[in-house]
Amino acid sequence: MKKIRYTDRNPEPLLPPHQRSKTFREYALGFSVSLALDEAQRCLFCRDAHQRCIKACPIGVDIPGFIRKITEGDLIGAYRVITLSNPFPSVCGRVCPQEKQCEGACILYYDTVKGRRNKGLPVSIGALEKFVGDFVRISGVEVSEERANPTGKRVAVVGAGPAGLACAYQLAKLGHHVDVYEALPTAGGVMAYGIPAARLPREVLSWEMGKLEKLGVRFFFGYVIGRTLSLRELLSSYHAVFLGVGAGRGSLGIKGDHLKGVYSAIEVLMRVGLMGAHMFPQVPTPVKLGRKTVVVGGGFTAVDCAITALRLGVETHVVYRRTRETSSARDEEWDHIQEEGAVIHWLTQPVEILGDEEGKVIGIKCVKMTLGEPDETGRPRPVPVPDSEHVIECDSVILAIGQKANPVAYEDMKELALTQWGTVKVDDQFRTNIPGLFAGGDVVNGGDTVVRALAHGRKAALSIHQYLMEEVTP
Amino acid sequence: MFPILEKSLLREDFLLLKIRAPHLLSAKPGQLVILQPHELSERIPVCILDLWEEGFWCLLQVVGRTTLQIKEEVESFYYVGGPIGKPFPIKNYGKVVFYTTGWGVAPAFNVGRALKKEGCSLQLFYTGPGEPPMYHKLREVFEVIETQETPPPVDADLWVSAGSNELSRYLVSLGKGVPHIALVNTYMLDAVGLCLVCRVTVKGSTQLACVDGPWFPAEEVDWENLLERETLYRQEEELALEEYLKELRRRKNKPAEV
Ligand SMILES: Cc1cc2nc3c(=O)[nH]c(=O)nc-3n(C[C@H](O)[C@H](O)[C@H](O)COP(=O)(O)OP(=O)(O)OC[C@H]3O[C@@H](n4cnc5c(N)ncnc54)[C@H](O)[C@@H]3O)c2cc1C
Ligand SMILES: Cc1cc2nc3c(=O)[nH]c(=O)nc-3n(C[C@H](O)[C@H](O)[C@H](O)COP(=O)(O)OP(=O)(O)OC[C@H]3O[C@@H](n4cnc5c(N)ncnc54)[C@H](O)[C@@H]3O)c2cc1C
Ligand code: SF4
Ligand code: SF4
Ligand code: FES
Ligand SMILES: [Mg+2]
Repeated sequence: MKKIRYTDRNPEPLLPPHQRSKTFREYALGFSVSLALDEAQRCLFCRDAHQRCIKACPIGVDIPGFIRKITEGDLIGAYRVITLSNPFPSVCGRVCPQEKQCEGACILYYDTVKGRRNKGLPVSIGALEKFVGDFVRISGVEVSEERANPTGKRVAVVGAGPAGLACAYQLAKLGHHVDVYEALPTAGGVMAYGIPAARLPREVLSWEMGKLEKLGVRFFFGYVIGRTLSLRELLSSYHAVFLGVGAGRGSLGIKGDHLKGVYSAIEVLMRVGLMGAHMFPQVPTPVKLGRKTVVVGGGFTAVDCAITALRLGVETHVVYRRTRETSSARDEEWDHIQEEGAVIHWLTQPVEILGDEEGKVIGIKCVKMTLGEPDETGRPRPVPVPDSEHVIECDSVILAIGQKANPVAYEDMKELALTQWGTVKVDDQFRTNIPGLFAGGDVVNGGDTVVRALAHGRKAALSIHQYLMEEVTP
Repeated sequence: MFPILEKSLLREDFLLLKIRAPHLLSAKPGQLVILQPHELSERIPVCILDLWEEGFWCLLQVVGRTTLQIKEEVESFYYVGGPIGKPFPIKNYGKVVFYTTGWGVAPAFNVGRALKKEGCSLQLFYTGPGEPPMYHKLREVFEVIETQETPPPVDADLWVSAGSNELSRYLVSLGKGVPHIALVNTYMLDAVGLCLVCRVTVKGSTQLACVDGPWFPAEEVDWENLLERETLYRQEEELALEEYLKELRRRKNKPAEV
């Protein structure tokens, strides 16, 4: 019997902190072939993996299946196994919060069947998945995509984020004609305008997008659905419509949020990620954080703002009202930004942004928090510590908190059923209450992960397929 | 790509552009587009002046780097997005007086024409610089067109102002009590409600110029805050223009290719 390698997990090589904080280049360098082969050997190919790592992957990648292919030296085979369920391995390998998903349920680390911590470290599933995706991309091998015969059915996909893209990919493979309508100039949604290139290089994304074009998916950029065309018009000119417009990105709502130097997280990320503002003035769009910035929030978005600010050479502080353990960002990302010099203020609640007489930000007033009784979500509720008010001086504040619905696409369709949070209501088949209209991703769950949005898009595509074949007369 | 089919210089600093972009044909009076010359160009909001069979016209006032670049070298746009914003509420208001400056005559024309069809009587006050561009086109819609440095508070059923936050604030400060709809000037980025850069405080609550606007009841807008935030990137804009002027000079000095 082979010896179980509990603890000798291969970490993915990283650029050293002082180098990576100077560049928007990707800092996680990826497995070499030998590291990947060695890491793949750690997998036990659990027969009940369906109750372990696979179950914890929102899109159900056959993890032992693809890892076995790696051990056999069949990387194209590994790629095929992954893309049976996940269209974008090189994206997910990079951006999934693996420790909360697949890796968090790897038997080496946690026994999900018995419900107890095991003694080792999980297989680096994410890094292996990234390796496979990157290998195929870099090798230049064309992995043919099977496409069913044309069905003559036409589907409109609204929004080119992960939900819409996964839906388009799956529908195209099933032989349907797919048109994607996107308001912005590029495909990717948050992957393109939100997640910094240092975590997800844009050439990776464009390569993944290229797969859709090869399948014949057509893209229409600059179309703001709800304005350019209404959902109703789309429903009358297509057999089905998938709504994947994501969520609104953040709210403000803290005293002083009108001051000069207060930004939403998306403004900062978009200026840099989409417009290249770090190259200003060679490119015309500026970004202006001053010498010192305070990022407010504790999720992916806050970490991404810190990554960006650090690379712009700005002294970066993050304030979060809860603790690291209760934050939704990845553990290793917190480590990374700390190594790069970010100062993190846990259990700190901002109460007011302070400005000078010209209306410019000069600081942020905060109070310290302590953990109290659990709230509705079961997480301990932070409560203020008396007399703990203090001011962090800064030139700018980036608010990476809250998400609201972004209803431009559907607000004029009054009969569409929404939830109390303003997100779109769907059944377990991703059907809305309007015949032929399906929805998935953040527009349905209000803000989650890339892989869950991909899973929604894919499942919705299968449900749309069934609808097209059974309910739509040619 | 969205080609510019006609580009005419009205005066030194005003350009009339005819752009092919069939997806804009659903635009209603008072809506805008976002233009981007190249992939890494700024995304600038511009009002729709008029539609034609396969696209739209707009009036561009050259004020900085991106508008100058469009004047100097752009032949087609990498991106045209829209229509953006909510249409102007068109109905018969009775007597309507427009107050505009600079490019503000473009939405004035577009909205004014629709109001005229509803039976409104229309006047236009232009507060410089110089005479209003497209004077003859404006004459088709407005019964009276006057250029005055200080806009006179004319009695009317509705005031409409566009082109300058300063101008709108001034009119509000007169406290005449005439119903007044103003176009707010804000920076814009994505223009679909994601980045919040275009936020405006209206009646104490946060509204987005790109999705809820750009037209708001003028008395309800926090103009002081808009005017403060208007200057946020002033230094960077000067720098960006400098950089582009340098590039233009470099190109002029370079011997022509053979
Ligand atoms: C800054 C940030 C960082 C994140 N980091 C991670 C991470 O590291 N890992 C992870 O798993 N998850 C992360 N997330 C969450 C994840 O990105 C989202 O859950 C996911 O992108 C949702 O996908 P979606 O397709 O539903 O929506 P989006 O990705 O939001 O895509 C929606 C698309 O629809 C377009 N659109 C909107 N309105 C219209 C309209 N009216 N007409 C036409 N098009 C329209 C938008 O422009 C956009 O392109 C992050 C989120 C943010 C904001
Ligand atoms: C709702 C609205 C409608 C508009 N309609 C027209 C129009 O029909 N014709 C026209 O010529 N101009 C219009 N503008 C103004 C136009 O967007 C700016 O003049 C243009 O962005 C200037 O770009 P620049 O690089 O040439 O100059 P810059 O030197 O960069 O800017 C000059 C000034 O323009 C404004 N500005 C700069 N960047 C932006 C931006 N991304 N978004 C919004 N404002 C910005 C700022 O106030 C700035 O001080 C409109 C603006 C808004 C908000
Ligand atoms: S898609 Fe994400 S969660 Fe699933 S196996 Fe890959 S990295 Fe893990
Ligand atoms: S649980 Fe871990 S060891 Fe078992 S198959 Fe999944 S990745 Fe391999
Ligand atoms: S321009 Fe980004 S929200 Fe309006
Ligand atoms: Mg500019």
